[in-house]
Amino acid sequence: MSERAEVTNAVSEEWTPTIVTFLCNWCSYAGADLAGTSRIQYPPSIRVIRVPCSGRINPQYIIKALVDGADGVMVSGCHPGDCHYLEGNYYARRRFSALKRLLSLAGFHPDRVQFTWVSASEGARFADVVETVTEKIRVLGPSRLGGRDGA
Amino acid sequence: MMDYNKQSQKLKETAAKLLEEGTVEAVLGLKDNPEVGWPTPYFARTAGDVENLVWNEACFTNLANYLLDMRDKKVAIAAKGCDVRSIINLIVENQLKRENIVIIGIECSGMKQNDSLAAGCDACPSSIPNMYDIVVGADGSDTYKDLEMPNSGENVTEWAKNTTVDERFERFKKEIDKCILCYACRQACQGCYCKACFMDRKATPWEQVDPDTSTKMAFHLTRAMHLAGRCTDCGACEKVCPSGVNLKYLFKGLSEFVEEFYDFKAGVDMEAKPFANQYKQDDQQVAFLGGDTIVGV
Ligand code: SF4
Ligand code: SF4
Repeated sequence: MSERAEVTNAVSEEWTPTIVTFLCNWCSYAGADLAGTSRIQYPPSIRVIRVPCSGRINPQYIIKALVDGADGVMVSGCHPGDCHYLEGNYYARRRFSALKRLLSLAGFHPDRVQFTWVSASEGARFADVVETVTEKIRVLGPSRLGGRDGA
Repeated sequence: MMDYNKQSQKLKETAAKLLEEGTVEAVLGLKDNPEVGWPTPYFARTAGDVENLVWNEACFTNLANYLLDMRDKKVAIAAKGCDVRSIINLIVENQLKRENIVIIGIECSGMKQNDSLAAGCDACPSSIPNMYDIVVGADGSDTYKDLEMPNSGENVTEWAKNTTVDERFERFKKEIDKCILCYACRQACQGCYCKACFMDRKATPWEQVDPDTSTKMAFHLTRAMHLAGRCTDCGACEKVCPSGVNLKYLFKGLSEFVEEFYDFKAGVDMEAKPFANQYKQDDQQVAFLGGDTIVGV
């Protein structure tokens, strides 16, 4: 299905995308935890995978999630300068920027892949980010790559 | 204009001299191969072997990664611009040592494959290799002629800016559908020298390789990602593909991006540090949520 058709086919208000979410152990995962313990509500769209560092995220993971039918991918790590391993997220930033350009060239809507930074103290921001990202992906509708050979 | 006969002659003379003097252990070049239909890589090891070396308009094969087979030996190579860019990339990545290589820089204004300009030649910056030890000019002489180049390569970033996500997906899908997952492109690529490619690892269920659309997409996208800032635009991947898959534009587009945003171009500077092996604290946040420029194209 074409991307534009997806948009005009206006997905139902109730549909929630499935967003494969990579969170770094030290900042964003703790931020998500804080959102939870503070009882802040956010859409049930994310499927969290905890990784040691945003620099540990092999671009292949993100590509794999998308081509196997994830509606979107979100990645969040420590803010630049706050990396637990000092510089992991600086390397990640370059890699993700290139990856996003590549995916866009190959015809994956840039909004389907989101990168951001959330610190351990930003529980409310985490919920905000999830809400924004979910809405951006929701309006695009389901992935056109419906799993194994569903393209 | 190109005089391949004179170039062959000069190449053979040079190769014989290097081997006789014992300067190098082998000269890497190309040899006629009727079975394949175009010349294929060949190591001349004695002065007698050099008669087998050929140079003509079908010598489009990128020889750089064959140097890896003899990385600790002293070897001379018959190299065009694209081979040299690839050699530089391999030196930058600590795969080759400059002092082990004698570059016989052969002037080239574009090779032919099946009667048309070979892939990659349309975007080649110069007929003169950007690094060399021995000169073989277009007419077989000791000076380069600096010939005019086709210079008709696609600007992928411009193309992307003028297309929709749908159109870009269609182009990608059309090429992906042709792919038979034979990995010839990977084998031919100067940058794909990993001993164990991610596509050969089937340790976990999610790494299973079935020749379906999603696997093919995962292969090409991940390969493109691995080549970000490393592709030398030699065109080898398209030249060897048995199914006519043309995906080099993805690699080229990434190179354009890396050059624009990080001021890095593969195959130019032997002293450079690989693009993905470094960062700046003030690198632009080109793909991030919340107020930053989206790298949408
Ligand atoms: S990706 Fe293709 S054009 Fe780029 S270096 Fe590898 S073989 Fe050459
Ligand atoms: S050489 Fe062509 S068919 Fe073979 S894996 Fe590469 S793109 Fe696919």
